[in-house]
Formats: sequence, structure tokens, C-alpha cells
Amino acid sequence: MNYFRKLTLLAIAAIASSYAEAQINLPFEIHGNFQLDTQYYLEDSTIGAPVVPEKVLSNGFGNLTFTRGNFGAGVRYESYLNPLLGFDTRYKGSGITYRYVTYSVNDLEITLGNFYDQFGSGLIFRSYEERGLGIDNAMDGIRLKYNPWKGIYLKGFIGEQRSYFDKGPGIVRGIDGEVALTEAITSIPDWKTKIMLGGSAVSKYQNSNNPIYNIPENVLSFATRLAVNRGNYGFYAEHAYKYNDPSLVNSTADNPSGIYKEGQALYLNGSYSKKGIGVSLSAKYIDNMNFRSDRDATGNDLNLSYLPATTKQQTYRLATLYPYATQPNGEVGFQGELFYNFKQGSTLGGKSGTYIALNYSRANGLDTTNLNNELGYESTFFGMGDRKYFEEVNVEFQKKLSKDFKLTITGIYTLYDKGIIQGLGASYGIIYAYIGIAEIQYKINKTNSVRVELQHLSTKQDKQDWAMALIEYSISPNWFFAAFDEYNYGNNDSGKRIHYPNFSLGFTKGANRIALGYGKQREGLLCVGGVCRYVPASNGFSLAVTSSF
Amino acid sequence: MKSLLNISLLLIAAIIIQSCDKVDPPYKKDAVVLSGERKVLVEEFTGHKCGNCPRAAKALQDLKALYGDNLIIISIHAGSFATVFPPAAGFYFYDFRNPVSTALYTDFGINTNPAGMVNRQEINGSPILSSTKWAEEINSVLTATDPVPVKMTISNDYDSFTRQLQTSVTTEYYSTLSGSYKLCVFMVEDSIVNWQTDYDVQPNDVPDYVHRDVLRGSMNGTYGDPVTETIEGNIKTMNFSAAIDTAWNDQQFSVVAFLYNESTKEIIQVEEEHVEP
Repeated sequence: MNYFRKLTLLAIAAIASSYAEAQINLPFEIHGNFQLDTQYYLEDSTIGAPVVPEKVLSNGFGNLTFTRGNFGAGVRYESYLNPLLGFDTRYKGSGITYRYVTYSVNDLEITLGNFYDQFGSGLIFRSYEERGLGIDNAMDGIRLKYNPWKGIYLKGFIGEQRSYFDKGPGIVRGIDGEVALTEAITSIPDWKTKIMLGGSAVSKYQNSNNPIYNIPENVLSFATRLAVNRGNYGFYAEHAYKYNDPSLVNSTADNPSGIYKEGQALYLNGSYSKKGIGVSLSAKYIDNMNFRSDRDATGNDLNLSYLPATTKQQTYRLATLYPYATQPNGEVGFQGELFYNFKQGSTLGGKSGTYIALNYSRANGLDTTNLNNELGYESTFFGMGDRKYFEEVNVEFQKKLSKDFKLTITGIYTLYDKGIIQGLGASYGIIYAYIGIAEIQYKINKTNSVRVELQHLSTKQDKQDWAMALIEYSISPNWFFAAFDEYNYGNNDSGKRIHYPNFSLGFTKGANRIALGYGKQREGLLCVGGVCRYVPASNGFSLAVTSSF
Repeated sequence: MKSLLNISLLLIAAIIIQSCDKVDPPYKKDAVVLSGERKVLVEEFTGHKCGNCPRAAKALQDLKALYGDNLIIISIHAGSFATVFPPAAGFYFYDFRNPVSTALYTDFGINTNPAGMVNRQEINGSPILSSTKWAEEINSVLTATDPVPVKMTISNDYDSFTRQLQTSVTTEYYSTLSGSYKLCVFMVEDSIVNWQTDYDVQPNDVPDYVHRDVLRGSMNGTYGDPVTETIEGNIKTMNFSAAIDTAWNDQQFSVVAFLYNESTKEIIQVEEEHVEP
């Protein structure tokens, strides 16, 4: 037996080494990456963790890409046996979910099979993958990209959208054109101002046999955009319009199949940056802009539009307790960001300089009038409604106390309309939270460093006060250890004053990484760029392996 | 080559921009008048804490107004939205759940509410349909042109003193059904007034919401009894009995019987009969 095993190992090693040899001589380049996330779940009713009959759940995938000159091809295999808690159970299964070939001849690039793409900022079309959120709305079809003239970029596609291990019922057609004026007009090559103009149109088709309503089977949306850059200044504007698109998401009590109102969105961003200072202002207006290739889909399924977030993407644990989710049915939002570096030697800068960052964001409902007909409502363009969905003030202060010692202090105030943002009903009530965070990073020597976080969240609503502490130790480049605890010590219900401890260790070597962990996870929303996924509470062990070549 | 490509792309752009159906009022189609013996069953999964469910329930009642007796509705309360609070909470303490509801909820893998099944027919690989799909599927069942294979009649005999209900279901086969079939006999109570979350009204917690067509249980188990000799010309009667719980309102009670294909789960015919106290 032992002998047999040795032989097998030798054989594998021989194949592997011959493969490694062969790789050099392959007529094309081959790359790949792999990821596996496995969790072993323990029963824990105190934190409200659902019972997992399988005990072990796992999400995994591997990508392979082949390239040679103008030719490229790729394939991805995914396996969810069964999907981790919080991922849609429709992911259950294994199989090839993504495959494509692409080649370019002269100025034309042709893609057959799956592709991801985006028009402008994504207001009417963004096909993308966000693994952590379980989102993959890859297209399957044909895409052409064409560059007929210097500075002029055109692309068009027709395809269907991925929905778990299947495809959505709609067909999507899109075209996009972009003109970079400075590149295109060669007679004035020394323009300091760079101007880009763009336009796009997306139309979806889904048949309907609705016996009561005349449902539009083809729905068109279009968008125009402008980007101007000069020196340290930048400006971007995009406007989108969508024709009547009654759907499940915009349905009302009186219009069970959805309202016929048009949709609109406007996104504006201006920025200024130079060494030591940065300012960014953005505004958005979203009105009935839920746009999907399936009118009956909800959640994160089959989205065509991506409505950019105008709130800060938080990373500290307690600051992620009340994350904002973009409201596609309607919102008006603003964000202002400023960072400044006080120079070394200045009054505020001290010996090693001081970094300060401010961020303010806000989102309100629309200013609307109900129409009591199939159009649903009327709204004033960029009109702000009375209801405040979200408001956040972030102040961050960073200082190097010595060569090896860095301190970051963060203060956050959040107003959070949980009922609206998480779809729990308008009378849920507003949450006001105050968060304070201190982070200390200390470099012990060249390879060893330690990081400590202390966080506190105070609120009279929801689950009341939380505290959190973290310690992280790294031995570069290979090892990583971390422990943290979130503690809902202020909960009015003394039975729910629960600790959520977490321990993890990771080992990295070259392109391989293995991480092991144990922890209790609180339930909540996980959000990336305003798009969220609900994660139920869990208690258990985790194993994560990533690799690439 | 280049100019040809340019023209083609322009052409594609023009086609896409033309690909839009702008609907002008009236948005509603003319009402269809239906008759005939084919009936359709909608099983709606709901819960008293599901704030989006009243909207779906209302949509179903609108369809009921349109299709009358040809549309039969059952509301199945189960899952996380149907859990109860202790009586001290003052609301959502009434338990609408029962073992049959919970079994259906679990077995059909429901994880969001509202969700519904129309004759348990699979559409794109799943019988679970979002509320905006219901009208379309109900209509496609009721307007199907193939002949109705079976007719069902229910006869109830109820003693309001002993609260014993005797039900007989007669199936008359107009054509032979191949495969194996089962008959399920469910008990439904209409118009139970109790708490319900409703996101369309303020405040969201409604104390006197009218819960329509609530599934109370089955007279012959979650998945019913097998039927045999599903042969053209055959007329068969099956008898069932059950007690109507004293906590239930026997003035608002009915029996819903349906025949389904055991392998496809698809419902072939359904009937509803009120219990006369």
C-alpha cells in the first residue's frame, strides 16, 4: 500500500514536472487562478445561526486563460457544494460557467461566448462579477469592438445574462461609442484639456403574455456622458434615460405588474488633486432606474444597470454595521471628500507630517407626487424629498509618531434609515450611530509588525452599543495571525449581549495562500459599492485556499 | 472594409434605438371572459411578518375578480416570516402555521416571500414564481386549447355540532391519463382577521388585516392519496373525513381538492367547495 502510494506520488510529480517543462515550450501562454472557501458550521442558536444540515459548505472556482498574439481564450469552472451560508441556494451545483474566445484583426476585436463589459459608469449597462456578493451577471453572446479612427472607440454586443447555473429569460442588445477629442483631432495635438464624449444605448427583450396589462417587451435605455480633464482638475457627467419598464421592483399596491413611468439617472463628479491635497465632490439622482434583463427578478439578479455609490466604502468592522445600499427606485445623493497632508515641520504637521481626511455623504428620497394611475408618480428632477435615508460624517486623522509607530484615529457619525435601506418597511425607525476607532501600527523589526484596532459604536436604537478589539501580527512575507472580538455589550436585552470572537492564521508562499479561521459571525449586510448581500449569523471553522500561476 | 464596418455599426445602432415598445394608455388590456371546466390553483407562500406579501395577495384577489371560480387560491403561511412572537409582545402571536404548510414550504425550497406556484408547473426549471409572473401563468393555463381531461366535484357534509366534516370527491375522466396521479384534499379558512406587516400602509403593522384563503391542513396528508384507473369514461368517488378545530371559523371554511401528476408534480385539475354549516 505504502509502496503503491509512493509510486503514485512519483508519477504525479513526474507528470507535474513534465508539465512545468512543457509550459515553457507551449505555443501559447497559459495562466490560471484558483480559490476555495470552505466552512464547517456549528449549531448556535444564541446568535441566530441557521442550522446547516450538510455541516460543511464550500464555494470554489478555477480560471484558465490562454493567449497567443491576437488570440485569447478562457474557461472557468465553479463548484458550490453546497453554497456557503448567505449565498443564493440556486448556486448549488458545479460546472463550466464561463468560456470565451476572442481575437482581433486590424482594428476589430471579436469576442464569442462570455464577456464582462461596462458602458460609461454603468448607469445602463454593467456586466460584472463580485464574488463576495455572489454576483455574476456575465453576458453570453457576441461582442464587437472597433477602433475606426484614432480616438474613436465603438463597441456593440448581443447576448443573454448569466443567472446562477442558467441564463435569464431576456435578450440584451447594446452599443456604445466614445470619442476622445484630443486624440481624434490631430491638428491640435497639444491641447491641455482632455475631453471625452460618449453615448450608449441598451435594449432588452423579454416576451410577455400578461393577460391584464400591455407590457413593453422591448425596453430601451440610453445614456450620454462627458469627461473633462485639465491638469489637476477632473469632471465627469453622465445622464441616463429609460423608457417604460414595469417590473416587480417598481410594482405598487395599485400596479401589481409595475408602473409605466420613465426612468432617469444623473451622475456628476468633480475632483481636484495634487501632492498632499485632494478634493472630490459627487452627486447623483436616481429615479425609477431599476433595469434588469428579467422584469420579474429581484435582489442582485440579472441587473443591467449599476448605480454608482456615493458613500464611503467602510472597512473597519463596526463601521460596516450600517452600510448604505443604493436605492434603484429613487434617491438623491451627495458626497464630498477632502484629504490634506500637513507638511513636515508645519505647526500641525510636526516632525513627520499629519494626514487628515474628511468625508460627508447623504442620500434622500425623491420629491414625488402620486398619480393614482399606471404611471405611478411624478417627480421633480433632482428634487430632494423630505425623507433622509442616510447621512454620514467621517473624520480620519493619521500621524506617524515615530519611524515605526503609526496612529490612525477615525470618528464617524451615521444616520441610517434601516427600514428603507434594508427593505424592512418605512416605519422601522431611524438609527443614529456614533463610531470611534483607534488603529496603531507598530513595526517591531524588518519582518515583524503588529497592528491593533480599538472600535466603539454607540447608538440608542437597534442593538445599542458595540465594542471591538483586534490584534494582528505579521511575519513577512509568510505568516499572518489575527484575533478580534466584537461585543454587543450594550444590548438592552441582557440575553443578547453576545461576544463574536474570531481567530485566523494565514500562510503565504509565492502565489499560494492558505488561511484557517474560527469565529462567530454576526448577521448583517455585506456591501460593495452600494450593492449588498445579506449574511446570516454563523459559528464555525473556515479554510480558504487561493493560488495562481 | 472599414467603411463597410462603419455602416454596419451605424445600422446596428439604428436597429437598437428602434428596439423599444413605448406603451400608450390604456395600459390595460380588455378583460377576457373565460368559461369552461378547467380551473387553476395558485399556492401563495406568505407570512404575517412579510411586508411585501399584502401587495402580492391583493394582486391575487384582483385576478380572482377577473377569473372568478376558475381561479382557486391557497395561502401557505410558513418559513421565517410566519414565526410568532410570545403573547406578551402584543402582536404577531397568532400562529397561522401547520405541518402541511411547513412541509410544502421546505419541500419546494422556498426562500423568499412572496412566492407562488401556479398549478406547480415548472417555468424555466422551477415552479416558484415571483408575483409579477402569476397573471401570465394563470392565463396560460386557463386559455389552453387542449381538452380538459378530468372534471372534479366535491360534496361536503358537515355537522356543526360535532364539527365533523365528511367530504367526497368525484373525478370524472374525459380522457385517459397516463402516468401515476394523486389526489390531495386541503382545508382552507377564509378571512382570518389578525396582525400583518404591510409596507404599503403607515404604520406598517396592521392589527386588523384580512388574511384570505389560509391553508389549515389536509384531509389526506401533505401529498394526498394515489388514484387508480384514470381511464376515459371512469367516474370515481373517494371519501374523506376530518374534524374542524374549534379554534377555526366553520362559517368561512372550504375544501380544495386537486389531482396532480406524481412525477412532474403538475396539477391537472382543481376544485373548491364551501362548507355549509
